[in-house]
Amino acid sequence: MAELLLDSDIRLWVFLPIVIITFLVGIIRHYVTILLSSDKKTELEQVKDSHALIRSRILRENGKFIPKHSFLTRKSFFNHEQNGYLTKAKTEREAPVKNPMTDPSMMTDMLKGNVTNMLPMIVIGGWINWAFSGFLTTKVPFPLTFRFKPMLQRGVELISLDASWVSSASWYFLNVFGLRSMYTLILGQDNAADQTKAMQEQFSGAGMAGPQDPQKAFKAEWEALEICNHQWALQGVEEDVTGQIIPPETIYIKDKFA
Amino acid sequence: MATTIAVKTKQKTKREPTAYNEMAVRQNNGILDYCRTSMSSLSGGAAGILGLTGLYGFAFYFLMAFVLSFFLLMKAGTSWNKFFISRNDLITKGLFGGLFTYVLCWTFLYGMVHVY
Amino acid sequence: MSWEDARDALRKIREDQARDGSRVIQLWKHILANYAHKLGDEVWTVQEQVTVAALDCQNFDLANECITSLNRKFPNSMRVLRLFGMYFEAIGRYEKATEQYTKILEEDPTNMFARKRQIAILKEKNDIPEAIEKLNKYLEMFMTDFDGWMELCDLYLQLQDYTKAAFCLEELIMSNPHNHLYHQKYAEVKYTQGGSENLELARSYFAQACKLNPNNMRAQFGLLLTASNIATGYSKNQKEKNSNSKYAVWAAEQIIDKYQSTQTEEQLQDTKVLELIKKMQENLVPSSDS
Repeated sequence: MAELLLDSDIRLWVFLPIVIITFLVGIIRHYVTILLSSDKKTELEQVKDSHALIRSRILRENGKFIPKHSFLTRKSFFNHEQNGYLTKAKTEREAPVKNPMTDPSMMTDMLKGNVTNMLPMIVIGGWINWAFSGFLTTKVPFPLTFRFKPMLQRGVELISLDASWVSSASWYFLNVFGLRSMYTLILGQDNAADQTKAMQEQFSGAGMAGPQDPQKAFKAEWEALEICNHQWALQGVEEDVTGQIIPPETIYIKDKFA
Repeated sequence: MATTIAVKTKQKTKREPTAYNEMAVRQNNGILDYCRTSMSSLSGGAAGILGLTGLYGFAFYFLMAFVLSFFLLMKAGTSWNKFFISRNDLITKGLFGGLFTYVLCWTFLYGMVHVY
Repeated sequence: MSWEDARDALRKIREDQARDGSRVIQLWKHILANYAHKLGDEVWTVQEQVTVAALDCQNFDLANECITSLNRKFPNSMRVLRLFGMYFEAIGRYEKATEQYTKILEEDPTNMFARKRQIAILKEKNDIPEAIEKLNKYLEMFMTDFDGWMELCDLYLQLQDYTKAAFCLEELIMSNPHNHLYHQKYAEVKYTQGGSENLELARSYFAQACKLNPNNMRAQFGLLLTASNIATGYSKNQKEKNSNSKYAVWAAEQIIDKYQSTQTEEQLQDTKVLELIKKMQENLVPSSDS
């Protein structure tokens, strides 16, 4: 493997600019997102639903601290066969599958998301590909197998070239993904510069849909609550606190459900 | 809720239940992350300038990572459980996430100094 | 005290959500007011805090000053509207205050704060039933607002509607099962309700409160009272009677112990409660021996 010698002008005019451009684009993205982000108007119905779900979860987790009767009252409030809150919600509630075409606010939100997420990625990526195409920029300081060639040498199709050389386009992508943690360092925890996270969200569809299908959440919660039994945690607490021997039956219960 | 409750057993070996403030724990983990990332990028830069290649570079990263873990453990001292749920968090948290940053910095400075 | 210290002190008060109006005003008036330009953007948060503190202390001039400056900076902001509402509330012009809150709610129906203020106005007017109704409606929507449940519980207690108050307390216990005060309060409500079943529940919850916080004297007294009540009045069989008097004796011992370890000799002689407890204890012990 012959050593290649790169012109040091490549360093000044290709290698460095790519790093700086990707970095600055990330920073600009962060501020543009802040600028464009509109306060999400939450609807009353949504708030109510999320509160109900949380309360039901708390009931499942901490229901053992209240008397059985009270637990059953609440369970029937949520899961009563006809009138339970969750029972009704999981069957009747129209899943607000908003058609993005009919809801203008949704539309602009999506547009904003795309403008700040995808567009710079495509535009800058394309531009870099065009402006700095065909350069070998650097070499990774460790040997790699030939499998990595298409990943690191995009735009430079040379079969005999050692796999550890990196082309300009690939250097750009390395930067896009690698600078992620640098943004956390500079911009703080919840920065918007990180495109990859937003992209993942978009691909999984969760980023757009906001709260996922509420009907599904209700159904899951309903099921979880349905199989939740009440075991009073305060059984035998008097004996316990007065430091006496716990009657065997309470030991059994505690061990089984604790 | 980041509340951990020790389960009580019948032998009355009662561990004190400890409650953690979720926000505080998240804040602490954020700071840990911050330390890791700084360390990764700095040691990446160092490795690049030194011109380490191949396995030496990776060995250098892990060496630095464990030095940092050691410092963190020293700093936390015996009261680590006041701030973190698990002690292993101090050592392993973000070890591989930091590797990515490290490789980038390493490649960058290696490229700047040694390739051309 | 430097202005940095004052800023940090105010920050701490904000984070702890402490309600220390006079101190906030002191810090602002004597130190920070002269350094407002150094605070940067934080000055607005601080002014909001000072406004609320000033209203707490009936210092309307200061409140007015802050609101005006905030309003100039953020016209039409919800948070300023809310301050206006609170201002009107503080000077007793409830209609005007309600108007502000309604305005907020028209803009943003999910604003919990405005809703709660409206209920507070009703409470201020001493219109408890109406406040309860509104609060119930509010809790129907925001089921996990535990401060709301707490308030509802107190309102029901004012009307002596113990069953409903107990319901609210159950909700609170579930929200934080490690808070001994909730357990203690629940037990007290149950004790007040009376009846053997409620008494037994009360006993369990008093015991739980004692377990969570062994220094909770009130819970220990409660345990003593409930257990001895059950032992003397409501026991179905001898075994139950025995165990209840055992609990009562235990609680009595704990209380006596506490008194003796914290009070001085002189005080102890003046403490009439101890004699009472000892007498009670004596009454209980023979029954547990037999």
